[in-house]
Amino acid sequence: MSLIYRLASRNLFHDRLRFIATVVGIVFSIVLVTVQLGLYLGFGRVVTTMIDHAAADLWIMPLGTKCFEDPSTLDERKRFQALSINGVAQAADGLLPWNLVEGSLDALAIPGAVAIDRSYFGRLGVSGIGDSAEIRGHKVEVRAVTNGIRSFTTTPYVFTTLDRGRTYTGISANKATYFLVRVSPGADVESVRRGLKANLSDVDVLTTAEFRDRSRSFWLFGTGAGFALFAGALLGMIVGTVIVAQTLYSSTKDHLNEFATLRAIGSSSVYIHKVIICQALISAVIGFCFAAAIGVIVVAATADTALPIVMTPALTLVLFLLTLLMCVISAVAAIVHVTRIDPVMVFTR
Amino acid sequence: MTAPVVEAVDIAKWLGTGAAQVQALKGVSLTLRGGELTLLMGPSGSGKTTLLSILGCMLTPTRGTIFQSYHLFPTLTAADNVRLALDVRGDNSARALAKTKDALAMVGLAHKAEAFPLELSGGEQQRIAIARAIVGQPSAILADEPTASLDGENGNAVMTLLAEIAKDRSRGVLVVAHDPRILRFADRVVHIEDGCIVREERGGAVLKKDESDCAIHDHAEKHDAVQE
Repeated sequence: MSLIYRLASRNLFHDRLRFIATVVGIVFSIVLVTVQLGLYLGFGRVVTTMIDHAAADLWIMPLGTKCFEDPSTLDERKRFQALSINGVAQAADGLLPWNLVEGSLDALAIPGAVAIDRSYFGRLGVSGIGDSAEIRGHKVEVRAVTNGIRSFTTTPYVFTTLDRGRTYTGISANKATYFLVRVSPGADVESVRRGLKANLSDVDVLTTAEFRDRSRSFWLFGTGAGFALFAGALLGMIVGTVIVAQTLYSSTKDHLNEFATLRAIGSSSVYIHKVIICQALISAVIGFCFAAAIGVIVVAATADTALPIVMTPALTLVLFLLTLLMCVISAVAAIVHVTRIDPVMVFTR
Repeated sequence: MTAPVVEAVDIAKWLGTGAAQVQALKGVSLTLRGGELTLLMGPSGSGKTTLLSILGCMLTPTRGTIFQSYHLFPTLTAADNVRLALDVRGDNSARALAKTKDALAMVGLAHKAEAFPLELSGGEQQRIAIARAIVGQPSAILADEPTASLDGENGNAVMTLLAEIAKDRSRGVLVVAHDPRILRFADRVVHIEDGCIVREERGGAVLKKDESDCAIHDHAEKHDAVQE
């Protein structure tokens, strides 16, 4: 086994204070990037919660609808037109709550009954089933409770019957924001979509995946929120790179005589570069482990908030590769410095 | 006479820049042959170390180098310090471990293989440095005042070891030295002054005293010199 790893690790651990500073820099940087990218993923999921849980093969919506929250409406007649298209099995204009933890869907048929998420009890001034509240002057009663259906805006989701929903929001009885289409068994979704587009004017017909992408794209990039999150992640990377580069550089300067000795006993530049890069990678792996542990805590702490930080295996892998990349880039300054070493300096000391 | 293991011809070297520039070597030619220990002697500033460092850097693949102040890696064990000389040349096989053990045994420190440099005496550290220099079985060994930091007893031990190595006809040993007490270990003594080789002796007989050597190369240096 080559001595590169041993030399690199002992160079690193020789000065513990500097090593701690390096690791803290990496941890700070990676936790910051984790939070930003985790928020990006979480935001991307939250803005499509309703779309993800709707039972629909195709969505019919007013032309130019940007996202699920878009208040534009369609005329109810379009629903009947849609039902007349070959291959359309169902065209609903509402969706059902999920994750019910108390009460039942049937209870929503009771006049004034609504379902809300338990995370909004405090904000809506209720404490559970049977409590009353008001929506735009209409008295409502909590008859079902869900868990985890949170809006990323300040406005909570409230489920009720379609008619009462229209009343509470002031939408005409013949209007709806979407029609959720289920195609007949065996029917081709793309053919049905073409039929709907050909027969319905001024509408967009999107698959669930397309609507999800459009909604996510609007909130993340149309509003600039995604860019802000990416900018935060980039800032984290830059800060981390600078900190690691600085500590690696000063470590290399401290061990310059040893690197010159390596050159003087016959080492190639590549060997020395490998030692420095190995130092960077050891720092990266250790720093990443600490950052990942903190990341797990942060993810758990935000799991029940309106905007949870989401960590996936793919994101973990990306963060690990980013950490390695950041540390290798950080090693460049040290490598440039050590490249200029003249082995003759060893003879004069 | 054995074949040369190092042959340096007409080496010139300038140090510094501008008004502070000085010529450290003025066209030095030196041949180091296998099976002999050559002492390179001269006063401070005569160009001994400069010549040695140039020879060292020219001969990267085939030389072993012994430094005045050992330059052992404090965080590596004695065995790893020795093995490093093989590792930097890409030899990290099981044979490298065997060569390392052999080199340590040759310098009499097999029992100190796992000791760190700080746990060793000055003489032991220099012997580890010698083991590092010889582990790759180089044809030329260059030693920069290897006894400078040692007491008389340890200095003698180190020089005995180097003289022993020089008995191998495939190896030449060049030792830069100040100390006349180590003259007895040398097969040949080369005197350098002001960047010129001024005298060469073998077995007490003066082989060469060529004052014109430098004068010739002073004129030739413009096109032959190794300039800094």
